Amino acid sequence: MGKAKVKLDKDLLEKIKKYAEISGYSSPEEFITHCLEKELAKLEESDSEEEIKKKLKGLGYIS
Amino acid sequence: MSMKRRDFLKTAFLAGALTGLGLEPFSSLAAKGKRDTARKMIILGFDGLDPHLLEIFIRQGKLPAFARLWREGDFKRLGTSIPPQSPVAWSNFITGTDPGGHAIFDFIHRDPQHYLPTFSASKTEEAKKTISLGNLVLPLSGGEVTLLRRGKAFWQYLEEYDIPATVFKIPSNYPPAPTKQRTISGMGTPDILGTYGIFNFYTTTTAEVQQDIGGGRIHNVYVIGNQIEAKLPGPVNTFKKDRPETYIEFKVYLDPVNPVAKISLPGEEFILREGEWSGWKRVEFPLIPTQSVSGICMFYLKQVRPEFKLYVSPINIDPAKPALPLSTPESYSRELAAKFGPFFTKGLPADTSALDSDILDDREFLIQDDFVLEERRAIFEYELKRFESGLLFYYVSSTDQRQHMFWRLLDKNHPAYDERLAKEFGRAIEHIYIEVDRILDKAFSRVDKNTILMVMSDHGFSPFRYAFNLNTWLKENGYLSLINEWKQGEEDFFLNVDWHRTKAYAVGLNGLYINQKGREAEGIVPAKEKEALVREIARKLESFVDPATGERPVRRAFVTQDVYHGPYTQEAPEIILGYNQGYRVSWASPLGRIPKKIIEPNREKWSGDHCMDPAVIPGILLTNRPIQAKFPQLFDLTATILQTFGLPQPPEMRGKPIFKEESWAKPK
Amino acid sequence: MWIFNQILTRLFDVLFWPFQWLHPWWAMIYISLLTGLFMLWVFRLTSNQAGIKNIKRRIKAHLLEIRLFKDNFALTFKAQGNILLCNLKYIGYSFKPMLVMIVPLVLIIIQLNFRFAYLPLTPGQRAIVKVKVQPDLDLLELPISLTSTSGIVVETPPLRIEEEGEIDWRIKALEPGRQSLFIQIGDNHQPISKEIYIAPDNTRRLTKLSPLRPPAKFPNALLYPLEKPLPTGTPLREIEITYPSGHFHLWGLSIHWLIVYFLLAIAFGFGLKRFVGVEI
Repeated sequence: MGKAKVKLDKDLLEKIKKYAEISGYSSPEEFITHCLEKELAKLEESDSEEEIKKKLKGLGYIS
Repeated sequence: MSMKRRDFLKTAFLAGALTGLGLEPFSSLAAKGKRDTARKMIILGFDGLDPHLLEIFIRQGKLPAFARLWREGDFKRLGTSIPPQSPVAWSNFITGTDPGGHAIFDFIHRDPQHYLPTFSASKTEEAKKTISLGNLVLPLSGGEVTLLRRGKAFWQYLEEYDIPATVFKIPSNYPPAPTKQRTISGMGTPDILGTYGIFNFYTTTTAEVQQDIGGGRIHNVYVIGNQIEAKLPGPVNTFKKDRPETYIEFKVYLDPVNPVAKISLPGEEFILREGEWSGWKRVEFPLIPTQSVSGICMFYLKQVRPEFKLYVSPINIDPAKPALPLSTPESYSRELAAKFGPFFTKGLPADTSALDSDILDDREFLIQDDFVLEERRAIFEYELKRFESGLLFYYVSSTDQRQHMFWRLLDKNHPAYDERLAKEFGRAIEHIYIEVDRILDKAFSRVDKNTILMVMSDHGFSPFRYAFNLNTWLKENGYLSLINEWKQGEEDFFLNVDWHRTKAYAVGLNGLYINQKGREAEGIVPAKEKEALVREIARKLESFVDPATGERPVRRAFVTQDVYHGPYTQEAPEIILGYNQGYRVSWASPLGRIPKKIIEPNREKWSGDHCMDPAVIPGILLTNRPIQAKFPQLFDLTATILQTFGLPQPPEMRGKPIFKEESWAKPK
Repeated sequence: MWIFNQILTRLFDVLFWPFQWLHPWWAMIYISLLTGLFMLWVFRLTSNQAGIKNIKRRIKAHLLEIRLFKDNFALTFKAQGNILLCNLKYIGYSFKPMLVMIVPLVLIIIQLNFRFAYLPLTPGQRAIVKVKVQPDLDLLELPISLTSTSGIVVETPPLRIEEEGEIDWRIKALEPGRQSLFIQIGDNHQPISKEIYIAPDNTRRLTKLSPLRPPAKFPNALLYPLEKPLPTGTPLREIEITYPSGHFHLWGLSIHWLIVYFLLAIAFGFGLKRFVGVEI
């Protein structure tokens, strides 16, 4: 799997390191990945709900 | 839960756009049974034909063929399904059972794990095994479209005895159930995007672009040097990792003065004058080299100046190159396409969404619906001509669609009644009755003493004046709780619902579900408390009175345990609402929105409906034999078909034949 | 050029005369057979038959060498090099007959294109008539009109695309037969005609169709040989009718006529080379 580097603000990184450890993540990377995945899932979900709505709306009986 | 929910959404809906190229080829089947039958049956299914209106028009002398059939045979009200929605009603007729036996309870079902609406009729799944090459995803196994209707269809029974049947466009049969009989799917067949139908509208008017339109996409375009460049969106490209939407680029050339435009698609150009329809145009959406999906659509140049407006119909599956299964044998749709050219394949062909959202006006909608009718008539005559033995079933959808859209102009008490429009289009419904009378007249030409001719509808019609927000009623009565009261009415899909304090919720057009512990993801009602709760809600619903009219909006609240029979009763909603005449579920409630008011006037063009109490909207039944049954029902007709051809009735079928066996020999 | 085109077209008319009532597949098989024979004949006349025979023998010998001495890497490698050289020489031998064939083949293909590539209109069907005019003309000021014989109706006002110097109309076929369109510019010019063919029904027959009336300039006049080029001095550059395109269908596949033609002609050429006594 390919990897890419992302630049983060130093203070933020420090915070991430601190909370990753407190929350029991094995590394700050794991913590960041988890957060991003969660956020993305939310976005994708709302897209899909719009999609359902649009598609079912063609039914005519609903709006 | 969110990951699961996302996956679910993807399979259920994005997969709906599956292009079919990853699908396993629909098994190629040989021609239908060839046995010559002594008895024959022609059944005409006119969706939504209403007995009350039919009788009026017959008495006014407007329907000579119906009058003749009544005179020579019989005419009765036909008991419909609970609920009287087309997919449910036609499934009753197809299988000879009630929803407990065929598992279609509504247009829309729900997934208890996510409280999200799903299509009730079919399920599309993408290929499970794929291989990734860079950005490409190649399927190693076939994807699948599954018909969710259970139970055996009557033509499958006939097939076992080698009795030929042609079944044209019967609803609730997509993808078509495997058979050697000649069948082509009807209502429930998606457009090329895998949806109930999404039109495209290209306009230079920005105000129109702002509209939130169901069943359509509005594109803002610019006229530069009398030319317009635009894109026609196609299905999602499942061959690509990022699943981009496919599209076709097209150009429109406008004359600087004359109201005329040339539309230039890849491989085809055509000229339209303002106000003209293009007829069917074939469009190919490229996926990867050597693979594309073929669809058909119609262009309508609504206006050239001052604002440019171009409507493109939902893209139907091309019957000549079907990307998804349309017919049995597979070649049947190709055969019809070769004979008649492209034809509407989408389940509900006329674009009611475009009329409802004022993209098409009444006249334009009727022109489009006339195209549907013209095609149907031509194919009917062809099938009638070659009908030699067995059974011919023929279906017309325009009767239903026109009554939905034009009831407002019949009914002076309707909130959307418009006197000016009533003068011009008030007879749109009458005209469609006259059109189907002509179809019936044609059928008489093939009827001899050994042929049963039957005309039936799945339900009747009623005005839809008031919209009932069922989820709001549940909230007002303490069965449903919100997370944020101030957000009430803003969100679909129960996003604002606090499931931990919710006992019941409503999805679809007539269904009400209990938030049952162990079944629903966040269910709270224990199984043992369910029955009492169901009875309590049903009683309260039936006694609720609309303060504005003094009427009871809910005439009957059917507890499905009491009224359904068969193995799928457990999957049904707990309660099916039978609305009173003039009332129907609201526009927002079926998808899980909770508006503030329980009852709202319906000001939409969609003004007639049938999602009510079956007792107030029976269908019609006319035959050229006396009908023995006092109150014939849809599933009785299935039993009658088997009786006609001398076949035994399987135990799961509920109905009883409507004719006395001896009546066969002596028509009235 | 026009006289040359006329002679050539007549010649092909005669060649195809027996096939005009049949499905184009028959004419395709027939003309591919003739082309195959023609190519063999040209090959025999213009190629170094002895040289080709010799070089093919040498290729065979080297192939045998590879098989016999497959353990000897140096020898196999050398044999492969020799095969490559022989192949180049073989291509060289084919060059001359190819060169001789290319001109008649282009002329044949041009003729075939107008018999296989398009389908005629049928009554009720619509098409676009595209007229291109000289680039310096102002389309909005140009008094241009389109009329037709009774078998066609012009359905739209002119659609002017200034950027392309093009004016389009939509026509609808009404009656079968050879029909004409007339383009009139102002009062000073004679109307300019364009022929159009309407078939009685959808039954596919071999039909000669001219989609474009070309300008009197090379190469257009050569590429569109069926109609007399436009008179010089007219403001028109060309007149085109968008006939539907006609493909050949085999086992559910839609194939371009040119592919069918080349495959068949080559198959016939190879199949018949022994009977004609030609070394290819």
